[in-house]
Amino acid sequence: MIIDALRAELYKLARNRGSAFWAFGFMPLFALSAGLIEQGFVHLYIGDIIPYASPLQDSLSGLASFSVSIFQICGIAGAAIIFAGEYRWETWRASLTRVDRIPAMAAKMIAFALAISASLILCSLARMIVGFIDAGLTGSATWPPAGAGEILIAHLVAFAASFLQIMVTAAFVMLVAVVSRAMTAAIVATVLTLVACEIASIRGNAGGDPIYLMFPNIAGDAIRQAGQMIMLQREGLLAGFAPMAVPVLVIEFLLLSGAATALFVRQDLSKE
Amino acid sequence: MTAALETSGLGKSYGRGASAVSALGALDLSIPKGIVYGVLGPNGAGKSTLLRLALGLVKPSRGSVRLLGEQTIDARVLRRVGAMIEAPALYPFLTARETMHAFARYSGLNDPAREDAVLARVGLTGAADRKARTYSMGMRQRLALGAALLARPELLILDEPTNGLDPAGIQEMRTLIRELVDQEGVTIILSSHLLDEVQKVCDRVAFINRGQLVSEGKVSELVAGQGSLFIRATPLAKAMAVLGARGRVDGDGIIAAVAEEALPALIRDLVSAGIDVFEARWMTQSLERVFLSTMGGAQ
Repeated sequence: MIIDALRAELYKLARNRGSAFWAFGFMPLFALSAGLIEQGFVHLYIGDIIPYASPLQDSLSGLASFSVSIFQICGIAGAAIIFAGEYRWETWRASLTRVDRIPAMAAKMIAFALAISASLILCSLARMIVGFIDAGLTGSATWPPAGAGEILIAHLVAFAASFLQIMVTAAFVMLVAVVSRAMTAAIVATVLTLVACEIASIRGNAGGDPIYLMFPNIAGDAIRQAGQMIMLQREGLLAGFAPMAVPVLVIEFLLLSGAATALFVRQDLSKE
Repeated sequence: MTAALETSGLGKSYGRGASAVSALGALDLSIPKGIVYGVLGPNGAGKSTLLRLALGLVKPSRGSVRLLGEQTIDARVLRRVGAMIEAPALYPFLTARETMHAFARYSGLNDPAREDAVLARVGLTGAADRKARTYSMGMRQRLALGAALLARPELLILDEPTNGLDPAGIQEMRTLIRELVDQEGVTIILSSHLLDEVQKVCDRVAFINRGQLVSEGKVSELVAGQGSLFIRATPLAKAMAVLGARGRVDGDGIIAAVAEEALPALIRDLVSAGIDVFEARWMTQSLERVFLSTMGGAQ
């Protein structure tokens, strides 16, 4: 039954083109166009002062897109469309007479995971394209000072960091959507919570205290820095916390999505 | 034979403590299979709550509900049911054809020919590639009905199915409902405010008021019994004198409580008394009158 619900979710997402573009397609397009503009500006006005360019390093930074607020907002909007859409269009009463509640919610989470994964990979590819253009213009090396295995592991670690971070955010959107039954509330409450997390981690000593790993942005940064350390031998303040950050994000995801699902299973849909 | 829908002491309250509002009392109802069953009642009577309870969209506060003989209402039994509850539930960004695709996927179906056939049956083939958000209320109603019919349900639950339909659409809906029951053996439970339509299409009805079952029975039995005669005649006072206690003035005419077989003699008496009879109309008992008298008694 979860397969049926997933097929329906993916179909609806594919047909809801406008919303799907802004939620999942805009990020890679922005990464590509912003990268090209940046390269053009550097070459035209500053000159080729950067001695080393690497498409693989750029693709790694593409996977770190979720450390940038605008990309997080796109992801939050995408999650809100998926999790709060049925409340907004009052369509739960049509879909829940065909699938049970837990598979219906699980299918939404899987659909979001697939869409955001595709978006992240496209961001990485977009940055890689910019990197190749840069290397062509400057005539610089295209291979970083690392082995193929290290590059692959670094990319996987960076992907996992961003993926886990946005999945925690999506689970929060899911919880707010179920409680409030409103798309706007799901977006606003999540954005404000993320801003509060950012402020708290800036004002505190995020680099020295593992307690800050409870903020998804700090936990994500810790894992991403570990990935950069593998590929670029670049030290990171938070990289040492990475082994702890992974279970923290997983537990946060399970708690938030579990709470949302438990509430949803008991929820009266007298009016969506 | 198992009932299509069976409730036992079924009740639903919203809120807690002193502020709790009872939407449905302790309802005992058994709806047999193979008929059109009407659930009637004024606004706020609990009709939609009953239908949502039957579909598992809201949880009962007390009592139990059995759908097609199953006590656990999950997708396994709900996939044997088609439902259209209150306003049509549609995705505004999907066309009618895409809506069918989406709901077919939810139901685990992969039968595009069936989707096209259902669109044709509800009269939307010509508008199948238009977005649902551009549809009129009547078209949305047709599309929602199509989605409910998609999985060839054994039981169809329709909440106000004629809302937004024009007179021709209402007649088509009536024909479709009877076809589904008489030719395909589908059971239909519907709620409606159009009592004339209910009388034409339903086999049995239940009157619900303030969450309680007030009356239930076959439509033919409920409307059976003594009718009445409407007479428009002058002078009215003289006609009233002939009718005596059997008549009462109603607007510009008289309603006479007489047996149908006594009509010819009564009209002869009026004419021979020098009264000009402009209109004499026999009025059968309508479901609307039964409804109003039943609900009046229940207030």
